[in-house]
Amino acid sequence: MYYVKVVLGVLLGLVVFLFLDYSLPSKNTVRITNTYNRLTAVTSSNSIFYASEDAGTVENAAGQRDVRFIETVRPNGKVFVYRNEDTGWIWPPYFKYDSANLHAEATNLQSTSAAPTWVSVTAYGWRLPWLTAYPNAISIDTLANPNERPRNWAAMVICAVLLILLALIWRMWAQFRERTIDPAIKSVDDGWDRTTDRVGASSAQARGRIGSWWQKLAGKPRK
Amino acid sequence: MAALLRLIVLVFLIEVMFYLLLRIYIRSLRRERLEEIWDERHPDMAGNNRARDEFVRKSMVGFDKSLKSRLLWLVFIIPTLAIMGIVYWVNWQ
Repeated sequence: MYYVKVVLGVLLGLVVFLFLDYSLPSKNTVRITNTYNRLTAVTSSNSIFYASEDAGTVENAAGQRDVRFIETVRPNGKVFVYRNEDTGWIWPPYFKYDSANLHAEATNLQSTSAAPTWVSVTAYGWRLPWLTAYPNAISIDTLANPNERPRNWAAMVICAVLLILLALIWRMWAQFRERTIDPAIKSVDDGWDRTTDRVGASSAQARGRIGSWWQKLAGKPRK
Repeated sequence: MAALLRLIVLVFLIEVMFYLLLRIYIRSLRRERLEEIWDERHPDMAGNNRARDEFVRKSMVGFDKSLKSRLLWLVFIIPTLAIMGIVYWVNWQ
């Protein structure tokens, strides 16, 4: 039982970590090299990594969407591709509907390796090539040099708020338990004790009666 | 538009749920504190009894008008403002 609990706890922690890692914003310092639209197949295996269909893009009969993409290069020379899609009003709660503006901004900030313009792209999501999943770019800020790493305030604030909420729920549950559940259990316990006491007493009484009746039959003198 | 309406309804329902839960919570905290106050003032009549219940009941009468209880309305205001803030920062920057 102990090991089952440990395994379940580790799995829960892993799920929470992956969930936060996917949905919290992250910042990367990159150089934008190209921006374009491409018809992209959104299949059942990767649709979870794209916006829900009622958000901005239109899906054609073949299940393809005209998704905007931003191609970038990192300071270490490796490439990274973002998608640029409206999130809609529900999940993840970025409420982004300015992807056309963001695309214009990204196109404006395109640069060559000879004269690089470094930018910090804020995005959420994962790049999973085998599922054709791309992180969704949220905003772009220009930077002075490629070594600059802006602090990710948004993710920190969200984590702090989540921790505060967790502490609050824990305190609320403790209070509910102390003031409502424990007294209820105690009153049931007391009731049970009273009942068993009563039963015990009456059975002792009955035993006493039977005993005296037997003694009378046996002709012994009453106690 | 339907998605926006759905968001408004969902957020409102979550806020109502948190409002009710937090209301129960802060009332419970106040009742506990009142019981402790009674036990300190009347060590001879401490514990769960009718006089203490009456004291707690009378002391809780004006609780909904207290600052704590009024600040609870922030449960409706802060998340709504936060969502509006996110909409602003994501789309108009």
